[in-house]
Amino acid sequence: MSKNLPQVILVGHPNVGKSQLFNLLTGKQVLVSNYPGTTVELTRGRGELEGLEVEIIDSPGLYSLSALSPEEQVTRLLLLKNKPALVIQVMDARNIQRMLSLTLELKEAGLPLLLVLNMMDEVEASGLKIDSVLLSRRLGIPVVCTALVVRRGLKQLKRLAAAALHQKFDSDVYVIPTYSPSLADILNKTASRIKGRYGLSKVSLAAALFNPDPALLNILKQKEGELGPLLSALRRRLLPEEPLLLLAGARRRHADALLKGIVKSPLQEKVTLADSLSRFFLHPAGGLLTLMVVLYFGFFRFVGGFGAGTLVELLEKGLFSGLLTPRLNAWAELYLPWPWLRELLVMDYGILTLGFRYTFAIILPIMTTFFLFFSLLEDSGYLPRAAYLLNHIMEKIGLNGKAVIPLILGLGCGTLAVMATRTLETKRERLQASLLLSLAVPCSAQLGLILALLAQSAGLGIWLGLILLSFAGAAFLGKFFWGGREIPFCLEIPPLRLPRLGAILRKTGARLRWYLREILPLFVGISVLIWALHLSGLIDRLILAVRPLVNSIGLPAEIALIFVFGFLRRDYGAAGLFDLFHAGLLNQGQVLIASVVLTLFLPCVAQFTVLIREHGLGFAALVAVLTASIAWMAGYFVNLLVSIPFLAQLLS
Amino acid sequence: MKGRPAEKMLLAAMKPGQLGEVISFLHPETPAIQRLAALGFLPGEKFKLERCRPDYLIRFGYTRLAINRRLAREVLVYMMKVSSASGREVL
Repeated sequence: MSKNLPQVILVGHPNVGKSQLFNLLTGKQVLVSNYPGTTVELTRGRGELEGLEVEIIDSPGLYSLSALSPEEQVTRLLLLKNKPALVIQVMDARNIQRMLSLTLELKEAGLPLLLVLNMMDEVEASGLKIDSVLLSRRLGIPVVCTALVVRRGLKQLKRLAAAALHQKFDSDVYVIPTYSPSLADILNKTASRIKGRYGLSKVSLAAALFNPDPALLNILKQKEGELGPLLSALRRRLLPEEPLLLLAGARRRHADALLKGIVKSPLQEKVTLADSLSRFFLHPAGGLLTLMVVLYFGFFRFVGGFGAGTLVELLEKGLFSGLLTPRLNAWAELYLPWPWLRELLVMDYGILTLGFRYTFAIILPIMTTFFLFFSLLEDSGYLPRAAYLLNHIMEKIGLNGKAVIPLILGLGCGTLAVMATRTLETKRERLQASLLLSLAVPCSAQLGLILALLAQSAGLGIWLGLILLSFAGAAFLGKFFWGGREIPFCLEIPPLRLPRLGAILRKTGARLRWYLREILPLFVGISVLIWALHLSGLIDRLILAVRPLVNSIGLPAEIALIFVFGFLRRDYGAAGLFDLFHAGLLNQGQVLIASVVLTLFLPCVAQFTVLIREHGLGFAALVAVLTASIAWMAGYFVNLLVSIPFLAQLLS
Repeated sequence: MKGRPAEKMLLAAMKPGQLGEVISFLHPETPAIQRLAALGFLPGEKFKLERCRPDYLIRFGYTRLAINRRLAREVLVYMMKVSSASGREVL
């Protein structure tokens, strides 16, 4: 991104339509999009405001510059370091009373601000009235009313934003809420000791120092030198109460006073369909029933049945095995005289016939269906409801409701999910969730293929039982290791919204692009690796070496290769299993054993790398040893099970 | 909201459907309380308790918040005597 473009930063509470505005302003020119949906990083893009080209940055949800969560700290740091030409705060207008505190904070920080009152359609439907002209005058900043879902007010927004960009902002002019004398005194004293110039005003920076993060202190250290005198000015003990509460309280009172005569509530609140539905989703019985229906249709029928069944069948059998592979092989026989090249590109393990086939015919349809389903859950606002319903269960295993989101995401891609554990608050929770994800949460390619392989037999029940058992085992083990008392927990439940098809497709597209970028090189690499192993004859020695281990759990030696695959890519291993079964090399019992072992086995290389990056080599090694041994034990146990004649009969 | 402040109690002791007003927090220095404050659930805020099972569900303004029992035991409230159909604050 070129440095000289004026920067426009979008901020606001979660679920207010920031990303929607980002998409509307940037069109399709998103330049960087890191692990969308799970990210605590920033999305940047290029946009145009009335002929002026700008860089637009979408930031993670921000409640306050006191920045209690890592996501919020990212945004605070961004505002501190960059000197944006404009900050656009997007707000859910119905919650103006609560969200205006952030506006006041941004104003206090001296940032050039534009306020977007979004979701005005919902405001009007609820009978609420907001005088945005008076609000703009009182705040001294441009305010625009929008309903971004239907692009209402977008033009006006662009016009005001462009106008604001041309205007010079004096960052020393700001509105300060009336703090109590002792708090105001401390803030002013601290502010007066700050020497450097930052993106945030000195008073605002002083307030941020009540809850600093290491990155913030680092930046300060660079410009201020020793921070001792600065921090000593923040004398908490002189305050009658916790500073963050005092700050929040003062801003809230300021907001309330400011909104007098601006907001008019309806006398009778209208109950909408979304409200009634939301009530049902949050009901202990109705909610759990809904959750089961959602998971059954989402994972079992849509991802497992449609994605891994119908679509894979169509692409794998119809397109690749039926059409492309034989032709490519015949073509290679004719035109490629060198066997080594033929083997590299096509035949059994070729880049085209294995790498591309696995990627596009087996993994892609499954991931597409999963990401569609997950984006739908996300955009409808259903996930926090599931988090609420499952919170008390998650607390029993040392986590809380928020962990539901990475765990469900783990049913799609464990690598993404381990990244998403960053959104959990304590290190203990992040480790616990990562352990569970590595051991007992199959990714959707695995899940889909295993569902397809085991669907017709009693094996599915046994597989599910064992996976759940391992999940519970690891959960309690983790709780035992890391302790984990019940800690205070709160979570905002956003309103239910009708998901927009366009947004879901865009999100799914972005996630698939990320996923393909991640896996295609690996898959091609694996093809080459296997080709090299074959050519050098090393593969037979490898298989010979692990033979006793796989034989001990009742599996043929050929499966060894699949386990190697499985480590390189979980889904690759599952895809290999799928091939072996269709080649008639495995019976139902062996498929069950292999499914259980592959599910519990080491996470794939990508997830392993992320584990190391997030939690260190030691933890990753522990996870590796733990999962490998649990997988072997489970395999041994299933092998004993399927040798019981009655069960063997049940399976066939 | 009409009705007079009646009884001082912990949020955890309220029943679903009851209205309340936040007085203070027992341990304001804990991160979860600061999170509540950042969400706008501050002393003086009037709210309605919608559910207390499986966890507590409170509504204030147009905001809905889920909190666990542990946190509900940290919030000191006035329980309002008069209950109306909606616990929404009239601005």
